[in-house]
Amino acid sequence: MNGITRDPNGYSLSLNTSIYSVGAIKKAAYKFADRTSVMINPVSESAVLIVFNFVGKHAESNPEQVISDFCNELLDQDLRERIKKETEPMRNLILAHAFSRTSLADKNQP
Amino acid sequence: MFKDAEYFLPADNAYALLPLRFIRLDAGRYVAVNEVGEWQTLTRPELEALVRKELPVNTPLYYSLKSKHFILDHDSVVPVDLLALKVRTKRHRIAEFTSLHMFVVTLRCNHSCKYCQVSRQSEDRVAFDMTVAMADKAVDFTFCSPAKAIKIEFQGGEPLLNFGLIKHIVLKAVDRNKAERRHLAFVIATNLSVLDEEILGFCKQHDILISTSLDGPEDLHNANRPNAHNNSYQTTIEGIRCAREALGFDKVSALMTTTKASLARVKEIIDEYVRQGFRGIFLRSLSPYGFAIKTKCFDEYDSRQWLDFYREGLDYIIELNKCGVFFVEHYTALVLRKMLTPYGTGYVNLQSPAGMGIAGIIFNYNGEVYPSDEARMKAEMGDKIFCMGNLLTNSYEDTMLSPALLDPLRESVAETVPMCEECAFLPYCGSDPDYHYATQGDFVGHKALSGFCKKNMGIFRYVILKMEDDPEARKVLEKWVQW
Repeated sequence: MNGITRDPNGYSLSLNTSIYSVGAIKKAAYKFADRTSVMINPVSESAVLIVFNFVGKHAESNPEQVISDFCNELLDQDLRERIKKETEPMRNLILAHAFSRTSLADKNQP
Repeated sequence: MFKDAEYFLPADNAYALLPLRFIRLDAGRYVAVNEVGEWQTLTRPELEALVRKELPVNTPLYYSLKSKHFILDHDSVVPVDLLALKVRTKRHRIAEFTSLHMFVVTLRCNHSCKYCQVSRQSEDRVAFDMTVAMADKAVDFTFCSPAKAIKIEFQGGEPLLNFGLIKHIVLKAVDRNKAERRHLAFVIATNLSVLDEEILGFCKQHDILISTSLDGPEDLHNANRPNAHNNSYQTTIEGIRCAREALGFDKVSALMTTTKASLARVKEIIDEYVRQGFRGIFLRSLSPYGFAIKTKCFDEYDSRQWLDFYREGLDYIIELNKCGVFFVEHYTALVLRKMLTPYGTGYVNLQSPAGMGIAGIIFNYNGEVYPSDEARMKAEMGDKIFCMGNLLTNSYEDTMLSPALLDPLRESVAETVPMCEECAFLPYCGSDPDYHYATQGDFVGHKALSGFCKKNMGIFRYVILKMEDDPEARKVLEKWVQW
């Protein structure tokens, strides 16, 4: 797989942070805690190195599959970030409507 | 002030996204779920096209997403108001506040179930009985709840070993309710072993429901729930028959608990329930409390094995329905209510914030008040972290505002919990601070390591795939919502 390095210390993955935000990388890492612990090391202003330390027999026996799944999760996290950014004001409006009996929307705002 | 819905519409003819979360269902499909639980399956290219605003209009997918309030276009901004209404409807139970009040009238029991989660005591130890003074305080406490509907459930141990106190509590609550005019209901959770005509007569007089335990066929039930004096299965079946005869067929319900010995026998367990005339079953895993921990029962299987058991059971139940036998898996029915209707459920562990204290509360035999059955189970193991107060020394206000309740509640809002806040299944799920405290030592827990999360995610994913891939199964599951 592109960007993956295997050396005697284990597997690592280099990522460009202009493509994946550090927030998205952290969320993916958190989600994979049952399969691998992840160290995120900065290597330049626009790159980080992810170092994997696999957990459990299943992950240890098939580390490349775990990394492949991790990459898919990164794509999902990136898309989630985009959706959240766009829809957050709308969510706030819906919740405001739901839990308030007063009109909280500014009709005159352009 | 918030900007109005029109503000978010693009100037061109395109659409705006409404709040949604998504998750991978299988190798080729995703499911998107909106703020109130409406869902739509999509391929990865469809999902990306939706987010990039490249989804072609006038296609079935576009109209489906529009009708389910995933997108907003220039035709109408009503979806924003409708979503707000549905959000409010989903959460209306929080305002209703505590309905279920559980009374542990004794911790004594005549069974020795190896998975007992409440740390029972032997029959002769009356020190483990609730006193009349405590019971009176508990009834007063119960009517402090603002809930219009109040259910009083008698728990144990075996509560019928202290039937005198049950009678006292029922009569006092009925009398009190003449002025309160709440919708009052009673349930006794019993192994039925000491049932007699006097008890049944009283239950009939006060419309008391019976909830019992039935773990499956005779050998499995007796292995799980041994009784030194008689055949536990025969006693239960005879008790169910007598109770139905005296109270009415639908006044008796049963619960099963899954042990390692149950895992390979889900069809036999379901067959036993069908044979005994029940119209549903709750496929229930073990909880990490009491003797289930002491005897290591809880560790005998993991969430993956339990999910295999559940999936085999659900498939079998659906096939029974297809053959004309109406039969429900109750947990699935609760989940379906959240997936297919704008309503929530009163089930404690499928609520955010957690249902502890809000949906139900429990008075232990010694007067201590706990926000859930699991919390008092933890207390019997020596950890009173969830103890909200004592009936004899604390007021309703002190107890309900105790940090022992408010701290876990504050931390249990799933919308703020890592992994939960982004999870597509959030509208279907809930929080379980007791479970995560018991297994991970904190109220929130790391969801990647959580059996609660793995079980629920597995169920949600399987139920959606069933409805997507099997139109006949979907018809069956839709009927369960009305049950």
